[in-house]
Amino acid sequence: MSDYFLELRNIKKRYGDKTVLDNISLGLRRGETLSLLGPPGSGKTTLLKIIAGLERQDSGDILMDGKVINDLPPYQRGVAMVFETLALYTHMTVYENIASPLIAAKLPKEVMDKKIREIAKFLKIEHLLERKADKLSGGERQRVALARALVKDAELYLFDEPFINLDAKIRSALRTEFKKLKTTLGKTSIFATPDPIEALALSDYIAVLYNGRILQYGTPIEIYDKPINLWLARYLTGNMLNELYGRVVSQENGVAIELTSPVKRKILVKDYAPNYVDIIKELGVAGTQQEIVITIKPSQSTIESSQECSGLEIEAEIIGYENHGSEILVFARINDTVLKIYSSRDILNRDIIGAKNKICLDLTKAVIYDKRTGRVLGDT
Amino acid sequence: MKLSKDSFKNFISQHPAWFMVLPALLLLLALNIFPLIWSLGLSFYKFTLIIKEPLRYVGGQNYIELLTSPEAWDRFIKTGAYIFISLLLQFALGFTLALLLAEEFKGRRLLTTILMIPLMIAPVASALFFRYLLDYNFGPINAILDRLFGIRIYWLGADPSPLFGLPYALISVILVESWIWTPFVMYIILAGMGAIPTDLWEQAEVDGLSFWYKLRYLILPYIKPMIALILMFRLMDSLKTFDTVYVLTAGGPGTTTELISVYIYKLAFIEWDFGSATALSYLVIVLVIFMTNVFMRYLILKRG
Amino acid sequence: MVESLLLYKLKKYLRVAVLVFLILAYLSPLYWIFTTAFKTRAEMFSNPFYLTQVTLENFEEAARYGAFDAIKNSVIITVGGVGLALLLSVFAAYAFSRYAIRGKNILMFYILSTRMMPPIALVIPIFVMFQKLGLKGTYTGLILMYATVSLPFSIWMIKSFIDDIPKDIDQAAILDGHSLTYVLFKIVIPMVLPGIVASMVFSAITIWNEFVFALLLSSIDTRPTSVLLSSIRGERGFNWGRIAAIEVVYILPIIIFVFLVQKHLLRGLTFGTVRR
Repeated sequence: MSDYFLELRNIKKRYGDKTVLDNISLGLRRGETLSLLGPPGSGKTTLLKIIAGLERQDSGDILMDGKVINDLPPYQRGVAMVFETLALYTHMTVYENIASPLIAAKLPKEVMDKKIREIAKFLKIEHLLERKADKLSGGERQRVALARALVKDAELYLFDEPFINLDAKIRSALRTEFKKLKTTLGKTSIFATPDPIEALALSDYIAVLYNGRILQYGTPIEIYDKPINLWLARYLTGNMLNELYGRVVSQENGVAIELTSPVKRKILVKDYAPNYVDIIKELGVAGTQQEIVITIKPSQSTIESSQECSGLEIEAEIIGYENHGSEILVFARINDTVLKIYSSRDILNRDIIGAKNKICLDLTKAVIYDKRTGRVLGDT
Repeated sequence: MKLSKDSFKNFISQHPAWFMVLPALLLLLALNIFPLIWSLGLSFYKFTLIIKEPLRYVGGQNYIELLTSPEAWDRFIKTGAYIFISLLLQFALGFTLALLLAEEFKGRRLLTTILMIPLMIAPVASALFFRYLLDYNFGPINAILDRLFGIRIYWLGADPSPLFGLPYALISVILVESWIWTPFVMYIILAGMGAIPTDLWEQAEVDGLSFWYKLRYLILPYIKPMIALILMFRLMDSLKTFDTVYVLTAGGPGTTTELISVYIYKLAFIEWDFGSATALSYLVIVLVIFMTNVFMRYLILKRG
Repeated sequence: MVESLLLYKLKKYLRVAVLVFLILAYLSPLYWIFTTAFKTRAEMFSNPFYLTQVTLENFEEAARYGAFDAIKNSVIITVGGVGLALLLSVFAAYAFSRYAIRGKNILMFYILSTRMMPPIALVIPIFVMFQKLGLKGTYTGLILMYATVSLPFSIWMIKSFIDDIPKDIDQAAILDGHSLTYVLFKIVIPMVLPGIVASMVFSAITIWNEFVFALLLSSIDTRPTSVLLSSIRGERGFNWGRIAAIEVVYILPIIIFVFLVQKHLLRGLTFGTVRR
């Protein structure tokens, strides 16, 4: 017996001849937050609806507290959900919307009223209670949907892209509120989102969904540090990944990598990334000339001013930057490849556009992929 | 298997959809599907309600008689000519009105709405009133013609008109039907033109493009699917034409305005020959089902 | 430049003027119905164009002729038919919109083809059937018949309105813990109420105006207005004032309805194939 509160075993779902979910197995303990991270169409919504009981899996089991609940109707599963479309009852007031699950639970009027006002206060929508639900702004509607789910005394909360379609400011405000919610209520929840930053920030575990399969499962740190394939590595950084191409060669003095792009250079692995010696050695013996992709996140590279570079040093021309508030994302070009580097704001004090600069890429934190298969190397 | 109340309830909650559809389906079954199947059966019999005479099975004889009778062919040809000319007239008029109403101006919405009135009031009422308007002696239309040109026309008579020599009575039926249905054509064309992006309109306006150019390259592409839609609806509905003819001319004088629906009515309720009437109905039904099929295919194709 | 702007404006006004003239000419039959209804008998023949002296004698005569019994019959049959159709079509429309029903496409095809079927083809077997069942000439028979006739349209149209509401709404309510009945009556129906009302108005207009079934399935006591109007046809010497008076009472409610449902006209006219 596992100690999982919710467990999915080999969930499969097809629509017509399209497989939407393929062999999904997951476990979640009480009080934990799980993110389902994946691009649109990866099956997140379907999985949430199957957990809620709104749709039925073709095969596989759902267990709660170790008991199979496949045949349990939705309202007996103790689940609350915020829908991607929010699904507000537009003909009702905000108050009536939030009251809906309480009416279904047949709570006494006074208890109901107290609960509604509490949650409304918590989400700062008290002033909207008498307003019709179709007369609200995007952020307000989001809060009302959140309130309607949270007012219900559920064991499991499901959130389907709850912050999508909002502007950045409301988004981050709601995200903060949500974190507060999570710590104060201590409820178990599952979160579907296409946004890696959201998933990394909010959850204890992340399951990456891709074409109806779980690509990778782990803590945010595990996933962030070692994405299982090149696609995910790119997805997590929002296509801001720095990629170096090369192949593994053996030399008398150890294993080396012969870089082919963006610079042609031969580097000795033990000098640059001693932690990779074992992996590369293994490879080097098994498949010399193996083509690889070395990936370095923008935050793991620096623009040199004075200090020594312990990593790979490349000279590139700065062609532009984006101001991200506390940090500056700098774009530097070398031989048709654009490198992305996070830098401190000091850099704006200089006139940098067009200047040649030394870029330092920290190879100790690089993740290496097989170029042909896209799989991460050194995965145990 | 014994059916308990519980298992019945269970069945309902397992298949709610069927129980929601069932009552409607039962009514349709009783008063639409069953009668139609039954009348298919009747079409193979000699059958009349007035004399107590047993049903007599005659096989396909009713159909053979109809398909070889010059009378039936005459009614089909009449109906064809009627449909062709009415659709032409309705398109021309509806399209003109739609073009005039295409651009925004004050009171446009009100005008389009009041134009719907002919479409919404009972065809019987419209036809009856056109009887007055077209009256030879004191109808306002002849009064106007008399004052302007000094002529009066027997609108509901059998005299041949200048239009392909069709009798005036048939022309009057066409006029009344077109009066009723032109707003339908206009409204749907207008809806199609509503889909033309405003900036394209404005661009054409700024470029000072000629009317014909706009019509050919801007308007027509957008209303093409609408035209197919109108054609289908109007074709089917014209085939149904009965009320206006019944009130306006009752199929006469003679048989000059006996369209197919009126002919079926006469076979059934004046000659009491139910066998032939149902057989002819079925010929029309087959035609309608065929056309509906084409229509559905078109819709599915268009929606992808 | 100024000149061309002037020309442009002139052209626009000219077009509107032509349009207004065309529409007035087009709707002039309505003008005649309404003026004739209030004309004295003497003026009817001496002066076909204007109304100088208003009288209500045509309406009094129409009442003596049984016009109000016919209107009453029309109301009974229309309310009954629409009511029954509404009751049955809301459930069916919901099911069609929300569930995967086997044979759905064939059913939809059937529903569309009923819209295209000439009523005269259907009325012959119904006529024989009703005579055998004793339903001919009764309100019940007419109401059943009209409910059947407007059912496919109501289902189709209400379905198209329910389709516009995301399925998530239903699922959210189910998850809140509500029963299917609650979801239907407290959530979905109130949300599509304007659409349902529009569909009902369309059905009502169709039944109110219908002629073929009314002609063949009603009796002297149950005949609606359309049949009464058509029966005036055979008489010697038309009393146009009386006819116009009956017509005014008959078509006035429809004209009001047209303004009520103008927003959904297109959907109604095209059987829900065009939505806007």
